[in-house]
Amino acid sequence: MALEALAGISNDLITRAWMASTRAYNTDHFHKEEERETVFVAVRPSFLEKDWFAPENKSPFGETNMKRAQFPCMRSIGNDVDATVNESFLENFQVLTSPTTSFCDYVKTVVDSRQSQRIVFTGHSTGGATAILATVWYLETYFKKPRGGFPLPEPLCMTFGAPLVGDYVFKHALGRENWSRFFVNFVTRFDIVLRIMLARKASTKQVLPHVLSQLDPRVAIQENDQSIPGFYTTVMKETATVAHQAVCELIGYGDAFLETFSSFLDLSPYRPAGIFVFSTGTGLVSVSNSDAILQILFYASQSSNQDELSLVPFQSIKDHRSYEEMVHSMAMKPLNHLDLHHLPLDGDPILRDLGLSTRARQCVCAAFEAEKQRVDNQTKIYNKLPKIVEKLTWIEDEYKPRCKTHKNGYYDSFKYSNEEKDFKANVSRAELAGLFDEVLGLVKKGLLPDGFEGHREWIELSTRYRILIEPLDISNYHRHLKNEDTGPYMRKGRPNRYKHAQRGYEHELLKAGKSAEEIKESGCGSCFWADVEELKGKAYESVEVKRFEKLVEGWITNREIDDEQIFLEGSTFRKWWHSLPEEHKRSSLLRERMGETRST
Amino acid sequence: MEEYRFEKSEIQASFMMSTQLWSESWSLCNAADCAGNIQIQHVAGIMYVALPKVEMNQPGNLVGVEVAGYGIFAALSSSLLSGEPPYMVNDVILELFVSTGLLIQSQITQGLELEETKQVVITGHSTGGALAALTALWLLSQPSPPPFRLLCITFGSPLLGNQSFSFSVSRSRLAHKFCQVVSIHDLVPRGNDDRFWPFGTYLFCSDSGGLCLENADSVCGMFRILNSTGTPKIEEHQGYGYYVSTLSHQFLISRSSCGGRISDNSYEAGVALAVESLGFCNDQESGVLVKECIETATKKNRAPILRTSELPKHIEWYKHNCDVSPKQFGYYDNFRQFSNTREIRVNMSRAKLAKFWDGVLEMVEKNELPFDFYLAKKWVYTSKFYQLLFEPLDIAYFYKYKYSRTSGHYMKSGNRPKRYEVIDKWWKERGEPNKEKRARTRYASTTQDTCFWAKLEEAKECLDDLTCENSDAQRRTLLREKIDGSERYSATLVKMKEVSKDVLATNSSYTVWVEKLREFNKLKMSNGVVDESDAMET
Repeated sequence: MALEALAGISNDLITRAWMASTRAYNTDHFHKEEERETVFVAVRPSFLEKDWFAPENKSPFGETNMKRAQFPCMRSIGNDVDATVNESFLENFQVLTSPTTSFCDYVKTVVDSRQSQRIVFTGHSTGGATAILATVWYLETYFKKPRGGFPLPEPLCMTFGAPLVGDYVFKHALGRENWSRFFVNFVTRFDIVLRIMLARKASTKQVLPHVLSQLDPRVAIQENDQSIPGFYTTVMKETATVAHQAVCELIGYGDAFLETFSSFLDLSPYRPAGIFVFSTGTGLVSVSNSDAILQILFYASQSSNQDELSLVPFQSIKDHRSYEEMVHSMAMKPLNHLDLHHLPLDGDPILRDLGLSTRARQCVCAAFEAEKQRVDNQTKIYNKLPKIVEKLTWIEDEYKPRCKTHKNGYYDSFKYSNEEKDFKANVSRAELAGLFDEVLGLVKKGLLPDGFEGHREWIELSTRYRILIEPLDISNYHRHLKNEDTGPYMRKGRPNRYKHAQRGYEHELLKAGKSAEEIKESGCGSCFWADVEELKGKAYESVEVKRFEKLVEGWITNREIDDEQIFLEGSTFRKWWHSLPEEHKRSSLLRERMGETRST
Repeated sequence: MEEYRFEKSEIQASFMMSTQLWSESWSLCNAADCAGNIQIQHVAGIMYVALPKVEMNQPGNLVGVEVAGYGIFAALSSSLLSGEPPYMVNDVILELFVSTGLLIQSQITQGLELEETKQVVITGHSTGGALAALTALWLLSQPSPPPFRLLCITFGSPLLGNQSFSFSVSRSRLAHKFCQVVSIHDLVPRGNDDRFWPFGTYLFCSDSGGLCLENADSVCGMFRILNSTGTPKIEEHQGYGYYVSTLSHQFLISRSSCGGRISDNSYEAGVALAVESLGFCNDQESGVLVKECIETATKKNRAPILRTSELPKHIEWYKHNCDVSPKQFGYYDNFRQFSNTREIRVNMSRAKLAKFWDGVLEMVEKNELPFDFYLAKKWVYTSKFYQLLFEPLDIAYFYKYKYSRTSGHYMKSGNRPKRYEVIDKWWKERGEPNKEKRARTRYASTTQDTCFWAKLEEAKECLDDLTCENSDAQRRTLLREKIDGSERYSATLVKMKEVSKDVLATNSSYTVWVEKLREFNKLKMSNGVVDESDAMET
């Protein structure tokens, strides 16, 4: 089978994972087994209602926020929101990782023993959902930090008929960290479990406990169960709403009527994450585009005629119990990877077998086109990078030194803006602002690939931009007295492009192993001048000033501020410092720095 | 590279028909029709209000309706485009509304008290739907918007008003709250009076599917096609229940083209499917016409792009240079008096930017901008920044070349470019509460009242007139009052440092005027004393 080309997954690996998953049914929490260099950790599923929707949860889809302390990467940097996941699945995960089980210890032993090359988290049904969260936990705990020495066992998450776990942000964060590739979800065509999370829990509440009992492969299935068609129709109807709404939004972003109409609906936040492998009678189809998977989840479970419709509801239950057959028949089936270039609108037996009508293929195509658009947007931005670099270099190599010859830093020179070079710097500032605002706009609307914000090149450039140009924005702000009109820069005036750049930078620090407290403590060096302007306008207060001076020392060490500029003779900072009480100055941290410049 | 297009009119219809809004609205409409009175129901956090159908004896005529000011639709955009006829609505519906509107409103209020909700759907079938639309419009166009979100869904409702009325609904940014469901066999919503004009999103439906059209021209086009082809069955007007239940289960069965070759182009394949969804055939003439309708409707509007060249940075530089120049004219007077290369260049940018902003405003007026344009603060701030810097130049240009006593001043009789009025409005709507104003610590970098110079030009003329001897006493008092007013006003601005340095330059028109006024006062004072002593002596 060609899956190996996809993620180095052999048929044997899938079979072993599935077998481990079935062995987990009768454990308390999880089942583990080792096979040469691979470790399998399979999580037990549950078919009780409370393990699907947390009883106390008030939200219409049973979702809850992921705590940033536990999952620092699972959030959006652009929109500064945390990912949401199903609360029950998260609780299952918390139990799994609590000290009552040996899960965490076991994983640690595996990592420390250096024997294994790969750790596979797997599970059927909700076991798969918990395995997904466990994999995220593994990535956050062991994988995010760069480590010297021996290589870590590479994680792989393989699920069989797992319900959707997280929302768009969840999927986006996995994409940004380049972790999506570790998640492979196997799905049979009609499996209802994949669609359950797209329906409001209120709409399925009554029959859900019964349906769940039917989904349990250990329980004998009732033929001709009359509650099943109703359940199927309800879930499908809401899946249709979500899928149609998503594709309309993908194409007609900002359509007012669509927005108004949607605001009257409770729409499921859950989105597919990772790679999905759909199985049909004749072949396998793998897709990695989340929007496309969502469309397929809806269209694949449509019937082609009334006769088929009378069978499909029962099939949707049976399919959740048929992963054994799927796994065993896999070796014989050809695999198609679906993307924009392999999507005929008509024909193709495997796609037809998956139930994708012309309309369906058109919607899947729209999802691929949207991704292509995101990539194109990214290319456009990358084409502008040399221009950005050129402007930054001019400020750095021309403007700053020229200001320095007047014994003014560029902050103060810009504030007085008496010369043509200041005017030129202002034009550069405005142009750069335009470019960065444009990027932020695209990021916020999800019009760039998920990985964009994680690219080192971008993070470094935006950090350089923030440190170099934000002082000019602060200068401009105070030059136009906006602090009197609008309020202090930090609270009222700081442009979002800098906040965004700072979040990206802090995220890098976090991944490099700094604690959230440390990062918060160190504050923001590019806002140095805003702090100076604020302090200047206030009466002297010893604690505050001392705290600030300590920060300044830190910023100089971290190269967040330029110590060749701020101590110059004409510097507002210097003037302010010299206006401080003698007593303070004598014991000040910065005494030497202020003195040194004076003597030169 | 060819741009990717996606045909979404059918998907959007499928989307709407898969929701509970679709089925709940209809079932309540039906209940209202049967009971013959208004029905209110709370379902899943949404309050549904259905108005019953009322038999209409004659098709109704258009009558003028007052929208702005004291009219019933107070907040509807009142700016008629030049040459646009006045707003008109269907008189029968209007009468119905006038007699029942308050009752409906009180029932909605009661319903809201019963169960707290932030979402209200107003709906109705046939005339009930038209009444629902008018009621919704009325609620939305009150000076203070209603404390809930509103959506209006009508089924087979007759058209409500004329083209100006429909444009005004769009311009007031309300059209997206209306959804009109129309069966392709139903004659009532089409009528054959082309003075009536549609607004809102139309959902056309047939036994085999549905289609959404938002663009009013496309909707009219669709009406024309339906009028010329199918024979409408009158009893079909009753048939919405059938469509609602059939179409709300349509999603269970997949849709593939019923005939012909499927295009390789996904957009064309989509349009072909959409045409079939209304039961038209792609290779017949009517089908081709429907296809055209869909294609015009899916044309996308684009936001204007702010390019760096549009940023008025070099004007800031010009202003700065004028302000610090030893000639001390300030940039307003510099631009007004001189026509050197520098001024010519500035004038070119002035004209270019005016054209750019006029273009933006035209798009706003014609409702051609993407909806989220307004939400972008960037535009509000950029336009304000533009105004602060350029309106003084526009005023200078006006007094340099255009002003005459007959044409009137800048502030009067439509001399001020409309773009500035709109920018003023945006700025006001920005929603920032008025803060307590303290004096600035330095002079502002641009004069905050952009019409400062226009007001000064008027005051200048008043003073000139007053200095001329030959005017009667009454006029002199009037002039005197005006001058005193201007003097107080500008002195306050200066005191609060709300003006920029150029106002106070030693040779600026303002400084010159203040000086002149002082001398005039001095002169008058000494004259006055003489007059009085004369009187004493006699």
